[in-house]
Amino acid sequence: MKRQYDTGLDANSISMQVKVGTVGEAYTAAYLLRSGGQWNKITESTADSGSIKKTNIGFAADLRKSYVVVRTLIDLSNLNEAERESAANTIFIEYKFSGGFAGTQTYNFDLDDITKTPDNRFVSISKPIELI
Amino acid sequence: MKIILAFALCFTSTFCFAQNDSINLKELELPNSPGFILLDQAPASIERPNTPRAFTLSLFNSFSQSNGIPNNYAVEFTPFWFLKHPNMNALKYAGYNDRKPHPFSSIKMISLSMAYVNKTDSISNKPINNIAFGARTTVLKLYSKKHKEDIIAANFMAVKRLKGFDYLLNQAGATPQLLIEDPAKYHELESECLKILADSNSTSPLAEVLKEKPRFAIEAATAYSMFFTNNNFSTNRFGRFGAWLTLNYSQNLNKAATNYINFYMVSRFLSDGTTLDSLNRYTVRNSFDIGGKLEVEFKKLSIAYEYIYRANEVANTFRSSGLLKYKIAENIYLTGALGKNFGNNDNLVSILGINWGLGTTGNEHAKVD
Repeated sequence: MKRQYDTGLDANSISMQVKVGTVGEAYTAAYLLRSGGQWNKITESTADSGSIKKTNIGFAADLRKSYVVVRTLIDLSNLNEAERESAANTIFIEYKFSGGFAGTQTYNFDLDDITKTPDNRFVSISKPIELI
Repeated sequence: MKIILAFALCFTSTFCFAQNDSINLKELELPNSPGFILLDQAPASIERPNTPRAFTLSLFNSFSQSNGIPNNYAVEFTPFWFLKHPNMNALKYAGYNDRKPHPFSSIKMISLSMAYVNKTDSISNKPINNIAFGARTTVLKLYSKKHKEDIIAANFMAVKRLKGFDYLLNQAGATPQLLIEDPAKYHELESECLKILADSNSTSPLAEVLKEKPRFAIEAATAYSMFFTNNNFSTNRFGRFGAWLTLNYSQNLNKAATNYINFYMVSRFLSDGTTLDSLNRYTVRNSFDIGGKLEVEFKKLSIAYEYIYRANEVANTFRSSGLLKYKIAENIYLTGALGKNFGNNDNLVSILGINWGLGTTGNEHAKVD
């Protein structure tokens, strides 16, 4: 489900942060999709966890009418079947945006953001946030 | 071949010889569900819910089937799996906090067990309600220095693999642009790509490293039971109390982490308040076991010797026996034991049979001998 973040004045410096809590290995990439359709990766997680530290993604004037798409991939294949089911049901992801007119906004993922394999070995969670 | 062997052993196990039926091969092992083994009667079925929803559903089913409080209900669960953990990651789960070993990290995986069993006393013909609670966890786990290096390297490879998969998703057309323009198509493509990854049967590089046993581990379990007679709360009495502590030392003998020399130090305290004395009064009998076991493990075969000293109010005694275990298939073991059991009479341990390893069975009780 798409969420919106109000960037406010042109000079506002917008930051984002992603916090991922899971027992599986995780990788997160954040993409910026411009209104013209071009997109590029703006930041990604490190090997330590699927989280992304607070990162400045640009000024409101440049970001308005764009989308930030955050995709988290999780590998639960090192767990047994029962553990995988529990692990897939207890994934925690928090998307935090700040610096804009809306101040600090925190979003969670929704059910329609998740795609997973029937055996819960691999999970993908894609969250689109519209910057207005 | 394995199936034929398993079938043949199943058949022969009917005729397996056991001079002393009181010996259970798992008797001194740390019980998986300590709450269950304190009861005289095994629960008819054990619920092992992995989610709060499954737990609620199992309770609801038991109550609806019994039209009220169930006669027989047993549940075992690990609270860790019921909750979200905002600060969790794969390395933390494996016992490394900020890439430093965290020896007590497995405490969080504590498993709790609870059983409620109703039966009728064969002498008085009055109903007896038993209730038991138990907990089990690994208190401490220490790995070799190499394990830390291996796990960090494996985690790096696992994340690199996911990064590669993220790239492939974009190449396959599941791009951020498609997510905005046509979310249904995006998720369809994503689902297809994930299925290909799952069908490849590739497992996380971490899985192999996590198979390695800790060099040193301490496991503990405890359980308490009480019982009521004649459906009367005021008759509540102490049933049994048990505490188990196991110290394991494992020396890995090969790179594939399949061969080990293991040394176990086991101790068990049991207090039994369910026996009647000559005046038909309930009395409490205590028993304390302490001992060690040396085991050599070669892939599927393990050979061990154990010595257990038992101190109780009747007499001090010991058990000394050799044990053999062969893994036929997952959770199916051919097990054998030969030696001297506790006590001076009828003390030959001589057992050969199949251990299904499916958890609590009817004969897995912790009675004080």
